[in-house]
Amino acid sequence: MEYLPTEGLDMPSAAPYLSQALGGGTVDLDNINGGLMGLNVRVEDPPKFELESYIANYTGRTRYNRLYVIGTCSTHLAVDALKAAVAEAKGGKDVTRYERAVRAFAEVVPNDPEATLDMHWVDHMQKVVKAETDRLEHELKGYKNNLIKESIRMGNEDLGQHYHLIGDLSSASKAYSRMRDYCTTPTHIVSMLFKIINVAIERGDWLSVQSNVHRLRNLQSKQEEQAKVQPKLSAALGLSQLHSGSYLDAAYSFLSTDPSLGDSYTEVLTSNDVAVYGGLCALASMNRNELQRRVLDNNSFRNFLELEPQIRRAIAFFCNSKFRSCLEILEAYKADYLLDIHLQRHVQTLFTRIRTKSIQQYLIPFNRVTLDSMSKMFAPGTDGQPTDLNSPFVQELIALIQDGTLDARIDLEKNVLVSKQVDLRTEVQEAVLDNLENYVREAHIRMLRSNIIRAGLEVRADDNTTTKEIRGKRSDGYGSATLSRGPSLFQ
Amino acid sequence: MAESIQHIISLSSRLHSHDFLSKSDYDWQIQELISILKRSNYSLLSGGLLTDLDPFEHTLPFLFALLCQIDSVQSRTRSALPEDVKPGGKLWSKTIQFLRTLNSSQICYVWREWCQLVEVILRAAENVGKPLLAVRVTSDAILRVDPTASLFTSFHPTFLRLCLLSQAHSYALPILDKHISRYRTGFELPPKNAGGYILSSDNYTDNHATEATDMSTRLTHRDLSKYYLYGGMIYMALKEWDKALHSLSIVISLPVVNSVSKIMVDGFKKWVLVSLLRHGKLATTPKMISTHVARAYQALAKPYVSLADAFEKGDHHRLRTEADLGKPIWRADCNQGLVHQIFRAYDMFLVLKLGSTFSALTTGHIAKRASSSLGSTTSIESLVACLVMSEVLEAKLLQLQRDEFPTMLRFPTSVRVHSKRRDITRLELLRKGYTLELLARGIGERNNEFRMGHDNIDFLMKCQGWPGISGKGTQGGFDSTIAGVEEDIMGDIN
Repeated sequence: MEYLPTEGLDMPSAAPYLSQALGGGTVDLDNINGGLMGLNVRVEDPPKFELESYIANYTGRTRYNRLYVIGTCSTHLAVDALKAAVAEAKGGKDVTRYERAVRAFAEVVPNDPEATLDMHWVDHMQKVVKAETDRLEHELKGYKNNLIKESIRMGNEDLGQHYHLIGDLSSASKAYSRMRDYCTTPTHIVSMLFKIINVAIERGDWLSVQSNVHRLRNLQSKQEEQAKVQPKLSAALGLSQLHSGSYLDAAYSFLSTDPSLGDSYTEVLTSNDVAVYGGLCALASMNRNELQRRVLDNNSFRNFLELEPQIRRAIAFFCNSKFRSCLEILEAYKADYLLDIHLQRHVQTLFTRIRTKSIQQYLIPFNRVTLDSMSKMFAPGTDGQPTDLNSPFVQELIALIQDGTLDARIDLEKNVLVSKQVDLRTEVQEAVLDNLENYVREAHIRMLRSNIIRAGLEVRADDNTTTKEIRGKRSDGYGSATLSRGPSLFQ
Repeated sequence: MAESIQHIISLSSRLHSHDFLSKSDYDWQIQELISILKRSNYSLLSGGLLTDLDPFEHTLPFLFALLCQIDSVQSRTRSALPEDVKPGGKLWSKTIQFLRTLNSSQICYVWREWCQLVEVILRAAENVGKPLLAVRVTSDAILRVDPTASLFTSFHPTFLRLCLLSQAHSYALPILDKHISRYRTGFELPPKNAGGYILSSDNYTDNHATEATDMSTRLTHRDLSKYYLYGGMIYMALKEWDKALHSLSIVISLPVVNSVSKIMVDGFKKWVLVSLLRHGKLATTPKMISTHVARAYQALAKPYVSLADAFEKGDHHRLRTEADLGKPIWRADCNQGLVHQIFRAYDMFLVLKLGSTFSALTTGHIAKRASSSLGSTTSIESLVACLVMSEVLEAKLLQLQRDEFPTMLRFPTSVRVHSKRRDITRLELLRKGYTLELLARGIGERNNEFRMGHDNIDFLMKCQGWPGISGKGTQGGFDSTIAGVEEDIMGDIN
């Protein structure tokens, strides 16, 4: 996890700025992330997936990142996941992530032999990495002297790849960016941009992901080439939109992902992920009609949905107004989603939105609904008096009414929720009167103001002498300021 | 000497029967009389002769003589307010007599002297701590002299302060209300000269142009801001929150050159409290307040702003602590009374707000949210009953049969349109229509005075447009005007 988790959606764009501002200090960033991640989410429930088969779907650095997130967040899988993470890190060249994994592992199982740092490996690897970096940079310098474009491009690419492997992500993206001037064919450009996108995703630099995706889109290339890159592009774009909190856009992006994606993008996400992300974003942001039309009746997305049948069932239930079943399914899989590296931060928001939408949809046909029937639907299992003012469900309803989401009022005498009836004519009349009042007031103040300025009576610090004189006289017991000039008047 | 007194008296009595005179003759004669009076010997006027006349018939001589006598007493006793001028003194009763019976049509020619006299009276009354003595008589006299109350003079703030001191708020209303309900004449400041005296009514303007320039030096922004602050305070005392808020809005949005005055900051503090009392939240500040002024307000009135924040968030514990913490501040700013009323307003707005969330709930539920002064259900009940009776709230209280259940408060199911409400709306619309008409006329006048007519603006654009082409920096801004000008030229040629 190289990006900073921002809490909720308050500052969706904070992560890129922060990671950019911190620039080369990737090591620091990692530490910060590690600390925050552990604190943020704790998942007690066992997830439905099996760790080994789950992680086998992924390749590349995302394997370690995912294992680490699972290990630090889940209580059930902590040992297995962190052990795997340690092994995974040791298989690579990134020393910092190895240290981090061991540290986390030591917190969970302090006595395990693997919970101590293998200093020998660390020293060795640091030396290897140093030598490799020096070698690649030296080679690049040589290519630059020879002025052969293709060699410089490849030199930069090798360097970028190396930096990426050792976890120096900002240097990696810099090295990849330097390739641009030396790309000669469209294929080169495409591969370069994809490398930048992958690094940016790992860094959590979602702005850069979006801009590079658009750059790739605008590239003039052949039809079949376009078709080849489209699924990856849509997935990457959807991911960046998900992280910036624009769930509807993210839903559209994931929905338009071509099923040919298959296993081709496992260094970032799998088709299963596309189904889950797309399905949840759509559920949270679309209405029932749109869901039916764009998700369930969408032939290409159906391929994804078949991989995650529970998402399809949840959406189908929602479309058929069986909100309770829909919410139950989502609740059952919540642990899985909370352990997903990308979904983790958004699960709460997405779920709340889905729930709020369900309540809204549920109320549409009713003029008045008993609180009992509502709480059976949306808050099953609450003991005692579910319709008491202090019950969480009623409090939730109150919050929804107060922020204007629900247009209804609660009747605590008869325990019903009554939809509001508005008298448009009176409302309009009152609004007009209010506007008039405001207009008249403002016009009065403005006209007064123009007159004051015209008369030169603006408030100013350096009063003219006359004023001071008068004030002075007034201060000594209301001196005869008015009449002191009297005699001259009469002479 | 006796001759000149005779002369003055004869001139003045001729004026009195001015029915036979044409307007220009009348003007001419009155100017002559004033110039004679101004030239007259000091001792001639300070003799008691002229003040024995009837003030109505001989308003001008009486006024000049009175002022002169006041002045001579002042210089003799070397005090600003000698005993004679104070209530009970000889000159006091003369002045009161004058104010009661003066001829208003002549006063408007001698504004300066008139203001002097009123100020002396007001100060004398304030000095002896009997403001009420002066308030009523001056209020009547001011209105008689200037029935539109459209003229801002230096005694206006003093007068309002006296009204506040004597708690005779209603005497200030005829004068205060005029400004707000009648917009055309509501501009206290003059169109013509930098002075401050306006006379937008046609027959005044000519006569006073000269007079006003003379007086202009004496008015300051302080008088103006004080006037509106006092106005706001009078409305507050009468609990006319809307008008108070408007008055204070004027204070806080006064145009500033470089710094904010203390009066404006005081106004802002009161404005915050009044807007809480009126709307239950901070009203939006007038748009013409510039950002640096707004920032100064925020910085200087921090306790008030955070009190308002607690109020708005509906956090009564914080509201209570803020109010307790700020006690010395409220006391120093003389806003204790307003802060005290905040709590009642808080409960009132709480109940009103609940109406949009609930259609029925028990008083027990309200008690849980209300401020601590309203802990029990019975006090809530009486508050609600009071609100319902004063027509602030449309709701019903239902007392259930069994005692153990608290009283149920039921809000109306929908906004009922009864005929009464519709009538009120119609009336209000008519009134607003009338105000708008006045306002439009005022704006038209203003446009004329500022030469904002289309022709003139076109002309100015032409004048500025040409150098704008060669000038640096202005080019972007003037693009459209240049284009417009060019088009016009083409039109002319064609």
